[in-house]
Amino acid sequence: MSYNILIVDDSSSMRKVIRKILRISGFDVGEILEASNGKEALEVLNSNWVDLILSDIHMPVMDGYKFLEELKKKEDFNHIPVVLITTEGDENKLQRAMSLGAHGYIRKPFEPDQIREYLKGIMGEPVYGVGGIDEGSDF
Amino acid sequence: MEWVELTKEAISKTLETMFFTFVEFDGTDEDSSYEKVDKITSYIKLSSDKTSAFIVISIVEPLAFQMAADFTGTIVEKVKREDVEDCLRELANMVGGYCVNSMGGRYSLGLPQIGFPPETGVTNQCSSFSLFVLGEKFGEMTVCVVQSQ
Repeated sequence: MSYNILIVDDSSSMRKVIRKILRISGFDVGEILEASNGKEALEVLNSNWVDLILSDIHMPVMDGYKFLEELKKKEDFNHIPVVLITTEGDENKLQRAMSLGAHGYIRKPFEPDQIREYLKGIMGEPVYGVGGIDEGSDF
Repeated sequence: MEWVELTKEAISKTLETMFFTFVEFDGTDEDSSYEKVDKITSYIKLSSDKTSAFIVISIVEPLAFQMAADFTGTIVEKVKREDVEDCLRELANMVGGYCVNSMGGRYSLGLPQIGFPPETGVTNQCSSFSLFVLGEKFGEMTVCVVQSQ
């Protein structure tokens, strides 16, 4: 089963980095969708099937906390695991995010393996070796 | 830990992990073209009840383009100015986040911006240091601590 993944981050570069990590992760990743804040992410969710969300916290328009709150209210989406990839350093705020339903968090700067470990926990064992597929690669 | 030491640790860790750049803090400015080359600057504000801190990062344009290429896994010819600015905002964001985390979350993180912070005046306590790679200066970092009013 391939997983559709939504990346939510206001930095287009960071979205690109995470997209590349996902593509070479060895997991059966289907469609990778992107949004630059929580509001856009909710719009993406309204029209796409998503199995996993990787989201930043500090974003303009709608931040990660508000996004988690909104997700929690929506029956269609509140089962989707959300992993936060964030610079947030305040443990209390991260715990608040966890209480709002986040599955876990990865602090930036991060090693690609940290994302792979979370994917493994959610998606099971990878189906390809690392670097197995890299669609749309610039290399 | 003092701000300068903390920001040195933060930029070192961030550049090494995410940008594949090994930064040094000692080198020579002699015969350096640093002053003649355009720079791109980003900053982030860290706020607490009593003080705010601005972390300002300036990097020479050619290296900033190369760093953006390395960060996003592309070739430098494909990198646009807006990509570089986005990367430098993210760099400031990660450095700021590292500092907040190291200080136990006493500060909250603002949104990173391109340019110099407007709120830092002459009365602020600022410290600057140079960034080198392979002995050549490629940037500067400044930390300004402002007492909250």
